[in-house]
Amino acid sequence: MKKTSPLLSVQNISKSYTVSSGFLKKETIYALQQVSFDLQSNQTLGVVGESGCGKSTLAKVLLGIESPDTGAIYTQKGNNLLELSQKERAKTIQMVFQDPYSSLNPRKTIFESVATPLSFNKSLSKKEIKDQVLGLLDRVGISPDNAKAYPHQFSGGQRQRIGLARGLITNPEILICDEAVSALDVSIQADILNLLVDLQEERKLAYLFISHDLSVVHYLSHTILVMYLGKIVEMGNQETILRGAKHPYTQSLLKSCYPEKFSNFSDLKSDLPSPFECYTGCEFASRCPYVADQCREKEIPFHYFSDGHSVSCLLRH
Amino acid sequence: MKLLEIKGLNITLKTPRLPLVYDMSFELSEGEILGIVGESGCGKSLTNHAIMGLLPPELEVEADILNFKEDSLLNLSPSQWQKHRGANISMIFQNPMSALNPCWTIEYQLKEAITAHFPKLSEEEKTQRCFELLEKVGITAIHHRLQSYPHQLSGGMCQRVMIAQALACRPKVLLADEPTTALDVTIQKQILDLLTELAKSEGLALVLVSHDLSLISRYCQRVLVMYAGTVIEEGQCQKLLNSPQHPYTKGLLNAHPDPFGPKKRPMAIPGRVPSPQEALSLKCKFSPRCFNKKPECEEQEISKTSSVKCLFPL
Repeated sequence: MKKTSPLLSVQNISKSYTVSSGFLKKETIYALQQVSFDLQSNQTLGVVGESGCGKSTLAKVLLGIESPDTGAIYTQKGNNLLELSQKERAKTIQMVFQDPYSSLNPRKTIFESVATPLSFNKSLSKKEIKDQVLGLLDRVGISPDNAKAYPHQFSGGQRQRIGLARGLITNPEILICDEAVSALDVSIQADILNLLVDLQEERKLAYLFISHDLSVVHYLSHTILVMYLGKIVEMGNQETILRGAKHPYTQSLLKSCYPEKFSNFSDLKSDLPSPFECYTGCEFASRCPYVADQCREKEIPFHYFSDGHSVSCLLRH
Repeated sequence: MKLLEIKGLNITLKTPRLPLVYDMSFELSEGEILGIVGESGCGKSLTNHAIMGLLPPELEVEADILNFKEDSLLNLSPSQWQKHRGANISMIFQNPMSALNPCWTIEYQLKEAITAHFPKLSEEEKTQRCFELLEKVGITAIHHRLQSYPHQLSGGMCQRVMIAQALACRPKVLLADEPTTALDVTIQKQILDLLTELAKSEGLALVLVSHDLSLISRYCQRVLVMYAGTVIEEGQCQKLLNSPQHPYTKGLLNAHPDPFGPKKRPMAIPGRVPSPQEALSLKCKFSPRCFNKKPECEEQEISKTSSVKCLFPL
């Protein structure tokens, strides 16, 4: 069967930040290191990882808020996303943010907030903009009668729906959801998750779904990427990552979320290490229950299994 | 031995007069781990703050019984509260990075807690106690950590310091208010394992507050489910998870996707939590959102003493 070319092909993206850490002292944080993956149309790629793993930096690089140091991101048409104009990029990829309370401008009505991304498109008339905005608000469950209201007049769940409308107004092919349901109560989360699933089916959207909540990631995702200190440590389809995880870090995440299901996995020792340090070999070595001398000696290559599952670990395959 | 006895606790906003928490009753014995679960605005944090005397003056606290052992915690003066806080009942807050004072070292803050209840200890004895506490909570390189400021520590480490500070004066009851919500998942497990082990080894009673029912069920024996200001169901954790009797509890369980169960859409609970104002006119606060609602739900009062606040439990 001919494999369709991916919607987005992320290749060797690296991003580092230099911060000052004292008088005349500078240190570097390697936020992303040689990150590569494909995003398929009409599919969800879940990204999991803890603080400092680089998932938010990845979102910013894809969106164009940050520029990577090296690497390229190819669209299905063969263009490099990094070389596209902001307007072209806005039509391809958009984002829904984590905090519904700070991601909407409190001084704009929700109509204005949702309509703003359309301001790039000079060919649209006022009526066309109004129809599109009200139509989309209605689709996400916000009554058009409330379009002139301000964000503070809505609940967290409603604000997240408004954020979703704002993300979809330019008809992008890709929507990045950066912890989009984490700040919501469980009963409201379910509503937003179902809405995301329905919209994906209707509009053939691709999602990059970033979350620390494994059960939500497993529900929505077709493929899952596990990140640690700027690198991808494991990647595979959601069933494989759930039942056949091979990297000790992925296993520790699973054990933390479902201790009764994964009691055979070992516990992690110690906290996350400093992102300032430079590591020879595997970044995970300091916390790994299976660490061996060879793990600290050199760059760990990816091992590829036949079903699209890959792991960056010397010992687990 | 009963450490906390609470019966008919009401927390009311004075102006305008609005009940925020009402008919709250539970007991806590030595060595017990009690879970309180509920979503935003259900009153779980208010209840904890009332037990610690940390509520602002705009809120009125009254109860038939609000006791720590034999002592009433109602209408205490600030100096009387000072005797209880830290020495009898201690609290761990949700966001460790903001609960610690950013201007003082860890050593200063730990010693401040120790001095409040043991002012006669010498400086060496206080330092010794700091070392003991940090060791107990699993912190290494203690000498270095004592000289650090909170911003130099990770979230997990700050939370361990908070636990150390809470244990400094050997309390009998520990109130943990969403202690791991702000932490990474692998650290969450470490902190909760630590809390529950300490509860056993120090003979403490622990109240664990969370919005996550599955997390509560792993660590607690008994759980109270709160909704719109009161407990709507209580019971043994496993029994509640397997066969919830209140439609809200069932709704909470159905709302979270289960990757190990059959693939199905998580079911949201329609509508939203009523504001305290809206709740005043409702006999059952959950009825507008309930899939099992019947005409009697709008007319009949629900018994205050039953463990499931529902006229038609599932």
